[in-house]
Amino acid sequence: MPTSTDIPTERSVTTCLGQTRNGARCRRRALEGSKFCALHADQAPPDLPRDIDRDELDDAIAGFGHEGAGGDARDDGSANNGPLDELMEFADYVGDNVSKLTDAVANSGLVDKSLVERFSHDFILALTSLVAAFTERASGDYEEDEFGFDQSFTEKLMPMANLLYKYYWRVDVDGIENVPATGGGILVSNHAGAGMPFDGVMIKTAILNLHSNPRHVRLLVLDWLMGLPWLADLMKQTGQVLACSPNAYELLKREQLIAVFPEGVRGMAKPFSQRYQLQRFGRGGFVRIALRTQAPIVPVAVVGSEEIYPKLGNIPVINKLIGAPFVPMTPLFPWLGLAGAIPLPSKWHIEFCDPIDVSQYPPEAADDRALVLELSEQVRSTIQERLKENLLKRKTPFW
Amino acid sequence: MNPPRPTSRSSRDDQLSVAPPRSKRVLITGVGRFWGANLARQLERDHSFDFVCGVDSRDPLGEFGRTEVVKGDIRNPAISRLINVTRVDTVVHTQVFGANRPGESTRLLHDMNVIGTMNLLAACAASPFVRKVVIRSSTAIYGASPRDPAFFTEDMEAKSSLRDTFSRDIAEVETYARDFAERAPHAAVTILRFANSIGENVDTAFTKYLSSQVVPTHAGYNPRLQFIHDTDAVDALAHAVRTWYPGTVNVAGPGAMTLSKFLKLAGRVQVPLIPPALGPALHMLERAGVLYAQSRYDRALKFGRGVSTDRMINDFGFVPEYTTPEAAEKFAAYIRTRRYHEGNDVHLDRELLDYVQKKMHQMPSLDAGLFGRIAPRFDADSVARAADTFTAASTRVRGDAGLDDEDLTASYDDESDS
Repeated sequence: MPTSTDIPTERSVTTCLGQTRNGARCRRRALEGSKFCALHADQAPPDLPRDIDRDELDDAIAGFGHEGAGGDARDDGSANNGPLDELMEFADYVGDNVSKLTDAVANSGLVDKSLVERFSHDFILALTSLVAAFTERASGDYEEDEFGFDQSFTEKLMPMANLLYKYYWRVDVDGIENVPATGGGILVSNHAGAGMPFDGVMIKTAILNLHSNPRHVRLLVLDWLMGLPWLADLMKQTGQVLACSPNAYELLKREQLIAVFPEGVRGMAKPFSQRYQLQRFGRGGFVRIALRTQAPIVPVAVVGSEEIYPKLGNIPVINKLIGAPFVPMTPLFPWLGLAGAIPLPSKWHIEFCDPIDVSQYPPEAADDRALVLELSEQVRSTIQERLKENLLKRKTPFW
Repeated sequence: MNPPRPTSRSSRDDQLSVAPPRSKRVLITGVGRFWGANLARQLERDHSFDFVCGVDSRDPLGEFGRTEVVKGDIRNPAISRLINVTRVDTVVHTQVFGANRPGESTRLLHDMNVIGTMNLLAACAASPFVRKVVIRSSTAIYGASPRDPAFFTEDMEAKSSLRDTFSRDIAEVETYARDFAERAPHAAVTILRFANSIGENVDTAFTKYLSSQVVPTHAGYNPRLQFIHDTDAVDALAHAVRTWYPGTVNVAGPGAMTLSKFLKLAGRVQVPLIPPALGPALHMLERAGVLYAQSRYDRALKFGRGVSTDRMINDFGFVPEYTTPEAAEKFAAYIRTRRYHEGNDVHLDRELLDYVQKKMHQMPSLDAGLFGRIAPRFDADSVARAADTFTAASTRVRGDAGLDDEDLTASYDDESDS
């Protein structure tokens, strides 16, 4: 049984043979049955013999460092290191220690071992790509579209969202094939979350993870959030735009997939007692946009998002001071300060329902107010129905 | 100063024909700044225009060929008599400026923008000949706020109240223009809303801001900006003169670019300042002469602004040579290397070339074929190329046409004496 206790405990065997970005040796522990850690598994030479003797191994290591960096990179690589390289080094160091910690957890036998391994892999990936994302922005070497969306930056942040998606909320997804693979499309979802658009982030992650054509959803965001310093920038960089119909038209004209939350603030601000009860759907603006651009509407029912922040009431004066639509009071917030803003780990289920094809109506039908309201109500009742059914299916809110 | 053209025709009978009439006699305001001056130079090269006249209270910018430059204040009611006596059918109003030069008061700027436009349009309304008015407006009319759509179309209005004097001026200018359009239905009023012009020839508060070594920005805000390349801005004005398009058009390079991306491209150092600090910092730089009139850019530099260019491309029929990212890259490359091509030599070359251009206008034997080839821009390359072309052409003329050297020098002498 090849557990780590059977392997001799010299560092030369359990340490990864890979190279970090700046050519230094990786100090992370190797994966089981491999000579490399999870990050550098792709550097493994295909034909390294399994039972290699010490001399050959040393030769292999020396040769490896030589080929990769074109010099003795092991000792004084620091001479050419900039602060960013040092930062990457630090991230590696943190990752190294995290993997030691998770190894200890895995070996304790309390948790499923493969889960811990997968988590530590994802965690290190999230950490390093987070650093890489901001390094790239700082270097100025990035591409952006005309809305300010930086795709490569966003993709480097996705491992972070993936941690929430896989391990925190353990999202289940149904009907991913209902999301159009090409062309424009409008996802319409229920909305909750007391100001934090986690439901939108999870929808985005689900499509990037599971769809046959992983596409970036562009969320349409409340205007108040788009005026906040740093946060607004971050949202623009990750592809979000202000919620208004001209923006929706512009995006659909460019064949993008957009997501709207017609409940808007009413949805985010609903008290805990009204969870999973859809609020009024605005004036049906999204239906008008769909009719005019002939883009299909995909209703999305998100179960789980409405329990992450059980809203008890509003904190009165502060919202006036900062101009926010509301400031929620939850069992944890504001009593625990910022720690109270950590969402609860509910179990999520996202269902992409059958798309509503509006191409049977002519674009001029957008001016037919009765039809618009009828279609809007149809979408609303679809989501409400799917929510109810999925809520009945789940055993408890947390697993 | 400018000798009258012996070839100016006097066909006045087609002045009052049915719409859309062709522009033949053009009056341009604001020839003391980049847009007016270069528009005049472009139109005077086109001999389908019988007459080009430039007005400005400032000194005219650069040399002109056959453009007749009048130094005059557009706030003066005598402008009406000028329009009547020159019988212009087209008035291009480019003298709407967002920033005062050091030494000019902001009150004067406001007066010029608002009272000047009012007076000019009143004069146009009083003239029986004016058929077309082109106004250089600005996208500043859309304001800047966090509730702005990504791309403003011409039908939209500002989402927040306009706070700075320039955008309020612009709003007033456009109100006068619409009034005029109602009162004079026979005339076409084309309002061009320009995004910020950037380029190596244009010198505005905004280009100064972008190209200063250390650029103060709002911490936490990274605005999306749109630009129009300087040559495109002039071309758009010329396009409006040549075509018939009553209405309002946004003129900007398609696409958008964030401020931080531009500053990275241009190699400038970005200094993010927290909101209360930015105003005083800009003010200090303004006092030091590094940039001027910061208030106009304050909110636009926070929230950014984008305009839709669909109408410009599809209806107005003008396609700019540079998109916003292209114009930005070109300008960024220019400011990165500016220190290498700044200096006395270029100024001397420019003077030489201006002189050459003027002389060529005065010599009928070397006509339009050559002028087309001399670029209105004066980077080192085009100066060299233009000089080559001129030498080659003059030797060819001497050899082929059998023109005596004496004739040539004589004509030079005649002109310079007059």
